[in-house]
Amino acid sequence: MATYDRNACDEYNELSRRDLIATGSMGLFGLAMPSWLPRVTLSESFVSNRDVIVQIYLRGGADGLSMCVPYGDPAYFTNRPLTSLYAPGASGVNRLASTIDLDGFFSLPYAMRKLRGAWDNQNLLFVHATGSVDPSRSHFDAQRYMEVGKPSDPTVATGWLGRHLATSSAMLNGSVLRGIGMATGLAKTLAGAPLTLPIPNVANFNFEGDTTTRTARRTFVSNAYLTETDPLLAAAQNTQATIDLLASINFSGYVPAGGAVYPTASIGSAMKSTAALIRAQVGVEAIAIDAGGWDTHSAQGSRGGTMTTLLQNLAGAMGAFWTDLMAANMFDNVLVIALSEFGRTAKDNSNAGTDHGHGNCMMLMGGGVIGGRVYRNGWPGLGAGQLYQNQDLAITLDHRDVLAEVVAKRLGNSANVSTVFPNYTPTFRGLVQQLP
Amino acid sequence: MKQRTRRNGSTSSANVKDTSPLETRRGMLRRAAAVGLIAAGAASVAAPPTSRPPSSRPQPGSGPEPLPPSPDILYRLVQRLTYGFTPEEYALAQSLGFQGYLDYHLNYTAIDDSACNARLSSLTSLTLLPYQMFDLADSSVPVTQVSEAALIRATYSKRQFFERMVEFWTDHFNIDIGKSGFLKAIDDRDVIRANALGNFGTLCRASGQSAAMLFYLDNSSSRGNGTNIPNQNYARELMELHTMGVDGGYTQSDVLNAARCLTGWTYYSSLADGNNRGLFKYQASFHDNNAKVVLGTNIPANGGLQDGITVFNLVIAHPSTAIYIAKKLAAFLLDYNPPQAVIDAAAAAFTSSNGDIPTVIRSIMTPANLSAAPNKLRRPYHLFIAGLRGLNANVTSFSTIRTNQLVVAGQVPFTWSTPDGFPDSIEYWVGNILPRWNFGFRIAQTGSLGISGVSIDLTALANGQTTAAGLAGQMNSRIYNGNLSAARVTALTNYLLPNTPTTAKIRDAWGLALSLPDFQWF
Repeated sequence: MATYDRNACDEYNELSRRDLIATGSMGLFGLAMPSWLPRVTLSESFVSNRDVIVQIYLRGGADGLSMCVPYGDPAYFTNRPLTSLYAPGASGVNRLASTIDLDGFFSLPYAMRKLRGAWDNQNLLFVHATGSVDPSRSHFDAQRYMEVGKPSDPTVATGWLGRHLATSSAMLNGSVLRGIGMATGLAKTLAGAPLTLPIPNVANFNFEGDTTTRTARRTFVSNAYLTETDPLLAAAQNTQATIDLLASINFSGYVPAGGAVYPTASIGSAMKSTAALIRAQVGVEAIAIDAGGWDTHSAQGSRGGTMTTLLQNLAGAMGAFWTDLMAANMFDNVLVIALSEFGRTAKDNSNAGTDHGHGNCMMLMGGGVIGGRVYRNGWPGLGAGQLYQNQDLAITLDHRDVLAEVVAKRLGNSANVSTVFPNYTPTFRGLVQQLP
Repeated sequence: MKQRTRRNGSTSSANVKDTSPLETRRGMLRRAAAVGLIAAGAASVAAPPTSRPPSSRPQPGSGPEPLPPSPDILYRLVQRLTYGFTPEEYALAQSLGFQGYLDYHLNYTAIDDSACNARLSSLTSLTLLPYQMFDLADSSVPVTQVSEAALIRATYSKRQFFERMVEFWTDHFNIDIGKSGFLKAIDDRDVIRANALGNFGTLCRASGQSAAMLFYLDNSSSRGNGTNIPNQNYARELMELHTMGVDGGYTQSDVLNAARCLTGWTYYSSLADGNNRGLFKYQASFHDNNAKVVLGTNIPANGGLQDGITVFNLVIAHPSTAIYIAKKLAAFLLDYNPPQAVIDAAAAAFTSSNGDIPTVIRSIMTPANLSAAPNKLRRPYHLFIAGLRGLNANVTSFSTIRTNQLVVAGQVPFTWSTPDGFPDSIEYWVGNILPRWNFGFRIAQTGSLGISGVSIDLTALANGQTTAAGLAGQMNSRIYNGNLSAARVTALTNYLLPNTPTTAKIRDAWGLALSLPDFQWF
């Protein structure tokens, strides 16, 4: 029946929903189910062992040179008298400005130390000097072209992840919700995705007002929208179905595994909700999270200010997520991607900030990631004569190579890579393992 | 290429793209709907028939703008110019005619707004001079009050179209109040509201000397003297978002040089600046006084303040700016994808009038253009206000709406964090429909089921109707000017039955009347 491989896990060997479905025992259901798990049994089963994908979009142009620090390139320090972090082992340095060596050339900011577990376990991969080859320094154009998966083409209306979902069968037969954007509006990445909604708070999703008339009002609204066409029809129907789905999960009672503690910042709660959704196995297979605040034109604060806090929250959330799903033995089929629309200028400006740049780093974290590495297709360098347009880290690896490899090898959709990334022939770089 | 759906339901020749994998959005959405239909569990209920003529209703999947325009052009005009139909506005439109009603709203200073002003009287920070805001013991007061004032005005001002245009320019020159703090309250009054139906150049120049804008986009601390590298943030958005548009023809070199020209544009902020605090200041010691080239124009050395003024002159007069503003205004007022002829005419009006905003609007908002325009989706802010107007709600405080309902819906005024302003698209907003339904349910209720500070007068709303059918008809008339289909009215009637409905049921039904698909569009 189910082919979803959940590996050996004491808790789940006892409590596996698959087994519950097989036995159909409501007694067992009521007796032993963790309280946050769905209270209703879905009659369907998982038909795919592919990854659930979580995209964290760092809006504003995150400074990749402060996230995966090229301390082996001397120009990094000369370019950035005001914002550079320090090489590993530098003495007399504020701890928040220090870094931890990764591979002898790159280092991890102290603020991101909570990713050490994932790195040491080879679940975390940095890809550097990558990004969208679109030359725009506009946040909005750069984000759009990255999200639709085709540079410089304003006619593409759908997102790359939306097209992946639209060209693949649901991971769970009969799934009512395949994608979630954890925001009040839909991220372009997910545009065109079937059974996908923007939901700002998955823990609070129901008809308000008098509970005694709730059912009658829901029926009235359901019927009223049957006369509509898409996208309003789909929005109404997906919403109605999702109310029941999310009501079956007790988010507020969710207990992370392994003692994982998520940061209280919004990225922390988003990742915690994401973990709860994944562990509940209700068929959500793509989650898009927006993390803002990365447009650090002035007082960037990579040495103990704004950027430090952003990095601590991001790494804290990703680190807790790793701990949680590892302990729950569910990390094998999860893939987290953190990316941003562009990097920032190699040199800092007079406000101890950096302006819109070009090349950047990306993070991939997952059970199928060939991690513990900083992958680059050659390091273009930060010295004079090496910078893109004389001011930025150059791009030596089109970010679509990374995403396309994920789509083909981890999302089980190799047949449709050319639809997901049109007019582009990706080069697979050996960043993730092929699904068995 | 873009897809367009006209009122006859036909789609433009762009349809050929439908066969390409990129443009299968409609197919995808259809598929999503098909699955959703099964999932929703309501699919077995037959769709009620619609009273609209089939010819005006696009077939399922024929495009992203599904509702046909109502044949009632004055109803549509009221919907477009205001925050939602009321019988009073409609009566005015009927007595003045299409052009007269538009002129009435464009000549907004002649409209007596004393009733709305009375509702604003307790918001004392609205009239403070900039330096007085610096001296407040609690600097959050103007932040709260300017947001409260926006909602009061949108709901109750008789100058409805002026308030819609304030919303448009607030997005166009977006400033996140979370970053700027009370400086945005000054900007709202002295930049946006002072010029919303004035001259574009005046508005843009005022924005360029607004403390809130200079701080929000980092220009106030940008230095270009000596070896300092200027901050490009404001210079870029001035060209990309405020004037020429991202495809307007400027280069990265233009951005850099404009940023150099604008070094030293800051504002008075220290205690020693006294009564000048919050006002524009040119700080010569921050300025890059070397020669520059912007958009092909040589800007000689030692120009000082004039360098920045030259930049504004160049970008405001640039042909791309006329097109960009014309298109954005037409998209806001008329159609997400305005016809090229409308854009061309509006751009010509912009150029010939030197950026007179009402002249551009007159070019766009014609009976022919409006008749041809598909409906637009209300953004949540617009939808909420329309709901309050639809039920003639008395709101003594918007505090709960600001801090709860608008947060979940995603559109608290002045809080969009990035400089592009709240999006104006169906695709972005449509999925988050649950808060839109819930708002209707809540405002029609009382006590813990309602919203603190909001009340409705059920008796007045009923207008003497007491039966299920009579009340449903009154809902149609009060909120939709009678434009609901017979099936909708029947559905409301059926909900209200038996024939003398309880008060609780009547409250539910008013909420349901606001949850209809028809209410999502304008």
